[in-house]
Amino acid sequence: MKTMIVREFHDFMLPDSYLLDLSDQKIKGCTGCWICWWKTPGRCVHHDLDLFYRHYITSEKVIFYLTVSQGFISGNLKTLFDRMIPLFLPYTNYTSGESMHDKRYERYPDIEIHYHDTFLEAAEKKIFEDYLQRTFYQFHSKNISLTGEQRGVRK
Amino acid sequence: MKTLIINGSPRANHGNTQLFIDHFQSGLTQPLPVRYVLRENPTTLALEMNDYDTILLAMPLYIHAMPGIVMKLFEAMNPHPTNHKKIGFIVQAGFIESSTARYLENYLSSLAHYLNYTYLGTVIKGDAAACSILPHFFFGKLFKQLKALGAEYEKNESFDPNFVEKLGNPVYLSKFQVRLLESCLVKKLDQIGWNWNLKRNGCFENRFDQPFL
Repeated sequence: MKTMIVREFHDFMLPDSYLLDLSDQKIKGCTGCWICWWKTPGRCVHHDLDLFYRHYITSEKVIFYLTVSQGFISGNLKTLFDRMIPLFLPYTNYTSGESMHDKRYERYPDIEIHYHDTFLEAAEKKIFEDYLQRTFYQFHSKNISLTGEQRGVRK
Repeated sequence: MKTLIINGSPRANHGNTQLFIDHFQSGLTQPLPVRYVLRENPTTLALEMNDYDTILLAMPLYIHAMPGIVMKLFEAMNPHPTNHKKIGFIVQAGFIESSTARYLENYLSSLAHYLNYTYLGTVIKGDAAACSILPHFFFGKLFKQLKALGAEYEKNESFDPNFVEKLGNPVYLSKFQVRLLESCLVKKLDQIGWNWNLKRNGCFENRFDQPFL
């Protein structure tokens, strides 16, 4: 099974897998230009994520190892999510009863998320988990799992 | 009371968020200072925010939450030692229903509590993607509501719940709205703007490209 790993902590790696190490790589920010939707369909003006896009869309599973930052996902990971809109079409459908962007590709990977659990309260953790579930639902992934691990202290 | 408006848009003063701020400011007798997250070092801006009693942060909704640059600003903020500070948020989103921003709203409320700020609430307006593209008369009602929101803010230093509710409608799509939006005619109207721009840029035939397969 082709798997990709995106990690902010941990040293987990699988043979022959593509690794995006967010502890090492700072993602260029989305400029909000929509060029990926109406000028170069499917391609961002920045090219730092071209390999990521290719591996994301051809993997059956993507495994994330995430840190918690200010009770939410990190700014660097949020930037990665912002930059994932070229993988979808600008058109909207409402068949699920709410607004969703149409797929650009036939299939999207399953998502397995492990996060470094440093939450102060259960409510904070719910916000974080709900957000990630919703994001990958919106990204058309069918199976999404989340696991908190290495309970630690918030910095 | 000193208030600072922060524009959290990656498009700085060229997008819908700036329009929201301009119309909010048009309801004030004294304009408020505006800072742009895009142009600032997050650590410096977070420190300078301490000089103000109230922060109003306006931003676009990106993937159900704040843009990455705004999260980087939040990461640079520390809990304030006093509980005299206030913070409120104005969010403009592309999708019609404001419920798409509820994940962000929940987080902003939690963050304000953690940072020891009094939370003034989050004003959410959906269906705002075309504000800076279409002629302004399409958005006359919205701009009037933002002006009134600004006037009420200046008077009471809070967001008027009536305007918050009005701007937030619809929270969810009704079954009738879903049927209407899914009908062929409305769906085509929905796509006109995208297709017009795709044609103008000479890439309409490539609109379904899958460059990474």
